[in-house]
Amino acid sequence: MTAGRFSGRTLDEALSAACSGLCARIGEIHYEVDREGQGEVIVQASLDPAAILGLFLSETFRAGQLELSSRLEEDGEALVVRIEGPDTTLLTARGGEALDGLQYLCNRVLDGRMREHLPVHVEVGDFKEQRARRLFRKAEEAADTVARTGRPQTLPAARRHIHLALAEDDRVETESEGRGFIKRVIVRPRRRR
Amino acid sequence: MSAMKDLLEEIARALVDNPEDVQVTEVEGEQTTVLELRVRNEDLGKVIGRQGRTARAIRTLLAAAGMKVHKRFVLEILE
Repeated sequence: MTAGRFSGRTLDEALSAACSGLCARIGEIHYEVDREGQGEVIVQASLDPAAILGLFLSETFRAGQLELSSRLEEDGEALVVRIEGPDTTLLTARGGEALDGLQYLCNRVLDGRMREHLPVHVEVGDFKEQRARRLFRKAEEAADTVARTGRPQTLPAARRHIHLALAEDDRVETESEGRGFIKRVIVRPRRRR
Repeated sequence: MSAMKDLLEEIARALVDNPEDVQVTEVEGEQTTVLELRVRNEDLGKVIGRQGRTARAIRTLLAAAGMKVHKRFVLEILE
């Protein structure tokens, strides 16, 4: 259940009924008082995805003694989490693997709570945007080399981005290689059809 | 009390259906600390994920937080 009507003799009671009914903590729900009077309070309550994530992140950062804070924005059909603070370099180190990991976890945490999937994007400044741009340039450079020399080039990881970057380049074609954790992309001259 | 243990507990609790059964034991070595995570059997999939992706994501965060204290942390998920 992600929403419902709950009642109690007082607002506190109605809210604690809402919390147990929605399997949530008070900071994770959004509520409106529906009716009040004659010794009864009825609230309309629902799980609030932004609040769930905000609480998850602040408790995770505090537990890990990480000097980070998060700001959440709703962007159409997605939630955008902006992380700030002195420890953001820990997230962007090693190609941003911890930033990607945190984004993955945020998505799983919400999926476990909400009925419908709401994609979560986690960003530090414009790190991911810059990273995508660098990758795009690398893919183009590889395509140029392939077109010039006629010899295939192999690029590590980030396969989806490379396939997308070169999808419209009619000089080359791309193919994934490898299974499991180690995956690569081969860029080779496009075969004549 | 260790920040790493707390961090892992917090993440695991947010992922599983039975947060009260999340347990983390810290086995400290000289250079590497092993964090043993125990969850209820039916929650194992929640902390491991498809093709181990959730466990991998948790490991990247432990590595990041470990950089701050200059220590390596290894996650072990126990059945």
